[in-house]
Amino acid sequence: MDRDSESEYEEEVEEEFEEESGEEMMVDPSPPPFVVKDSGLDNEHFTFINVADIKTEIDNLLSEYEQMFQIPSDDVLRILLQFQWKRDTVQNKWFDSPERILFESGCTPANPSTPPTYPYECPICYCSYEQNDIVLLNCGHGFCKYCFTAHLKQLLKKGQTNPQIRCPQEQCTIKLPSSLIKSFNEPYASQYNTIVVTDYIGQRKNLRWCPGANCPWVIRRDGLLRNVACLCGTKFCFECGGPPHMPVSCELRRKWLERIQADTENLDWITANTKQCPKCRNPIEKNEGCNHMTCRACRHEFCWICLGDWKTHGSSTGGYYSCNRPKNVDLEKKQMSAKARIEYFTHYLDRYVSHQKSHEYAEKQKKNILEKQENYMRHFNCGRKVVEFLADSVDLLVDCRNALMNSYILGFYLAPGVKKDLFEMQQQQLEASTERLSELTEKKVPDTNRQETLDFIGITSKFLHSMLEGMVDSLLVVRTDL
Amino acid sequence: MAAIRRIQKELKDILQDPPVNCSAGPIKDNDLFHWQATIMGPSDSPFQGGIFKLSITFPNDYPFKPPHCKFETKVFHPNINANGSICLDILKDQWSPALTISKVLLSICSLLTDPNPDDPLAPEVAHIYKSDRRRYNQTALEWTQKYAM
Repeated sequence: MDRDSESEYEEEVEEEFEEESGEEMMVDPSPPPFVVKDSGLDNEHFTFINVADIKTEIDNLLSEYEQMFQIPSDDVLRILLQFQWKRDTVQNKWFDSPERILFESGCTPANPSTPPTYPYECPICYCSYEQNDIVLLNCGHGFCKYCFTAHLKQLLKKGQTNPQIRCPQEQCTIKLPSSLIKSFNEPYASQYNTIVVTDYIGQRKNLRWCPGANCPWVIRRDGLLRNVACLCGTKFCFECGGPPHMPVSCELRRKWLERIQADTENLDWITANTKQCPKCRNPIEKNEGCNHMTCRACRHEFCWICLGDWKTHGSSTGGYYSCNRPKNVDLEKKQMSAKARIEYFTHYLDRYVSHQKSHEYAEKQKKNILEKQENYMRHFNCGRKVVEFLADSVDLLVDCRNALMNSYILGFYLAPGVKKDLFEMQQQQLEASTERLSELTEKKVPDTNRQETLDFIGITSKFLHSMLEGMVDSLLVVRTDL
Repeated sequence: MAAIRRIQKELKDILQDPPVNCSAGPIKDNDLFHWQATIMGPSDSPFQGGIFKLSITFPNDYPFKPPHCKFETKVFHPNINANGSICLDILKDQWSPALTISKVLLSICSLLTDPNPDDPLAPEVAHIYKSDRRRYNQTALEWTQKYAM
């Protein structure tokens, strides 16, 4: 870059910087608290809730049924716990027989035992106590308050998940009312609340704790998307809690992972790691993310995936990046021959592994991004705001590689048809734009083109979203002949 | 310590009024937390005539946590494995602090008579119990004669 263009560039950067900060000034003074800067995952489909809000939700539910059934909140909670917070079941059972549901939920005893006479011998420690020191339950079982708290302590300690705390008497069906548990000193009340809230979240299909270590957020899913990026930075699949893997479903992904574990020993897919230059046959190991390869020995440019000349992958030749479709497999035929099946599998496996490697490399780039940003700021003498695009681009790259990797699992299982054609078109667009973005992010600092990178961030993220969102419906037809 | 007083009381009761076909007590006089128990094989079972030894270890927070019970004698039974571990609900999540060793031993006796093959600890034994009761009774009897007499 010569002097002139460099200073021009700086000006442009300065201008944009001011514009951006100006925009920020005009933003609503109290922005919504749960906005995440994230490129690849759509957080508008998820709501981040804190535990206090869940608590309120539970309290509202309790008072609703308290009024509807005209019973104390203690009983409502015991009923809801017994029937996994299922409104339909609870309502139906209540209208069938209130007495039965109260018994089944441990609110009323089968046959109350006779009330104790004092001094009373605690059936746990066998010591005698006066009435003041005895906790008496509605089943007639009484315990000294020391043993009773020790029992609570045992059942509420960390790691316990059952919110239905039984009467300490053997074979008694009564569950302790929450007001009684909470009447004891801390920490019992708060530990009990935590167990109840955790149970509620566990039973609700649209709620999930973030699996991140010590992350306090609860995520509510408002749509069909599964990839979540939590406020704490953890990215995960809402349904299986594992790494995010849209567009492929949890089930197909698991099937695929089992399959490649079983098949890898038989198949020569190690070629995905080292390949020979198609021109000079020099062995090449790919250690960077982009599929646009240039042979060190002969300078031949080729595509890592299909080993074809890179020239045929340009937009000038029409098919911008057309190596995402398997060759030599007749998809119209209902049954594939054994050989065709292996080829079909290898086609998807190659691409899966290739994007997996690139994904790893992108993660590595992400780790070193701070250093690169520092270099950039030093080299172009600009502010921190200007270099955000570097981090944004590798963040997006990581998400794209992950989505592409998983898209080849989906591609493998998808039955031929209009839906698959559309999907492969979207996949192709995303792949092409990801390769370009990957190239841009790999450039040395002085050669980095900020504007072009920003443009590609915009385009690529659009392609990513349309591929992910296009594939969430349940109309996908899965092949059965694999 | 609450556990010691409670164990002392249980020991007194069990010596005064031992449960049917069972006996139990500390192995050493100075250690109340480790007991040995014996169960006579119930008469309506293939364990009839056998004397089965168990070791019992009380946790420090007994009776709020269940005692740890283990067979020292080999038993051919769907809910008792090769290590002598016992699969019994009251020794796990159905434990109640109002239960006593005496009641636990009685429950183990009735488990010997009525196995619970749907919740097995020794799946192969459970399979034999469910599919070939004669063979189960035969093997259990042989084991009783070989290891418990």
